[in-house]
Amino acid sequence: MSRFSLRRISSEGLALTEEHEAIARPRKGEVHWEAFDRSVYEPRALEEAAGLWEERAVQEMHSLALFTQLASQLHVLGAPLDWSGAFARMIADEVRHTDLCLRMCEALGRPASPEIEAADLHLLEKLAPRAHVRQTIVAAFCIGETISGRMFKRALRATDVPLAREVVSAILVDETFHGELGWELGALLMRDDGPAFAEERRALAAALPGLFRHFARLCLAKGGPAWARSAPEVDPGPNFGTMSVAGYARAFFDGMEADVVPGLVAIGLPEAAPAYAALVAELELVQSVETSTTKR
Amino acid sequence: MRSHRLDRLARLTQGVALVGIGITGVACGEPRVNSPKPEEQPHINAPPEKPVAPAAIDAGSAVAPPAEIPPPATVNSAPRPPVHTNSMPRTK
Repeated sequence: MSRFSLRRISSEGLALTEEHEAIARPRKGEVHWEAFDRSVYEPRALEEAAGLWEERAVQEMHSLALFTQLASQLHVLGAPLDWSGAFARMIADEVRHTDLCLRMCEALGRPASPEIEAADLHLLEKLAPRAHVRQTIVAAFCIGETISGRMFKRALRATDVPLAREVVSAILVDETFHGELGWELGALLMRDDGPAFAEERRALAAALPGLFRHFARLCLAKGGPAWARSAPEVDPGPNFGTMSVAGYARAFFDGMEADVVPGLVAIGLPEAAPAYAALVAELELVQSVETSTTKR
Repeated sequence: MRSHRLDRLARLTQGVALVGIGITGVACGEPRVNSPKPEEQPHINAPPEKPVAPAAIDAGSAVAPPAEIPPPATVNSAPRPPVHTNSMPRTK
């Protein structure tokens, strides 16, 4: 495996580029790139915003790689054809999101070609069995996309730069669908299909605490819900679609409590409730230890 | 998540499993419903059955492209792909 620079476009005037541009256009609404005047903003604000959008581009690229491979695994697992159609849309959405993020960097005057470590792409193991596909869908969709959708919803509320609002809106439209699809897939994959199912379900339930911890880290949830909900959700200054550290953490806790945990319980994983309670207790303990250390 | 949505998800988990026959089925040696019969033409995206080893190409034994591609058996069936699609014609 090696590293590569993620470039947006191969060359001008190619049919493939033209087709890509068509896919990358928002499904709803429009992004008025040409109307954005970056000279109105402080260079530091532009720099910080570009850094965030570049980071998002990398995350979206990871989703693109994962969903593409997941789709091919589903084909050999005998999934109905409508799963392929839904995945085709989702893969196109991830292409769009990666493209929008990179175009945001260009619009902010900081074109980016982020370095991607091929080994870091969250690809499935070759010939992943059904249980692995199920676990990946629960992790990536029922948890990841659900929280991501909530984050973009909150970010949209905070975003006051018109161009960023249009881009965040375009992404949010897709994320809402991804969350919905993920829960349907998760539920369908939790149908009992024989003796092996009980053991696979048990293994998935046992993996939940680790998955919750992983997404808490990704969402910068270093303290408990009380901390996240008491701190400001956004940083001061023009908002290009960003939130504060506590803001991201709050989206995580709200998403977990309102959607993820009840959803997992509904699809046959009641272990989600105690696993989340244990995570919260763990985070609150870490925070209280850090607070007492700081006071000393 | 609202209660009607949670109820719907819970209902969706009931019923016949939709996924899982693929790898398990293949591993058990059961033929898939849509698998082509061995004597049928392969799909256009099927990999070549016997790829030529690079050593054979180096030795100058690459198969020359056929002078004429035989007509397909049916409208939708693809012609059998050449042994090595990237092999170049030999020059004297």
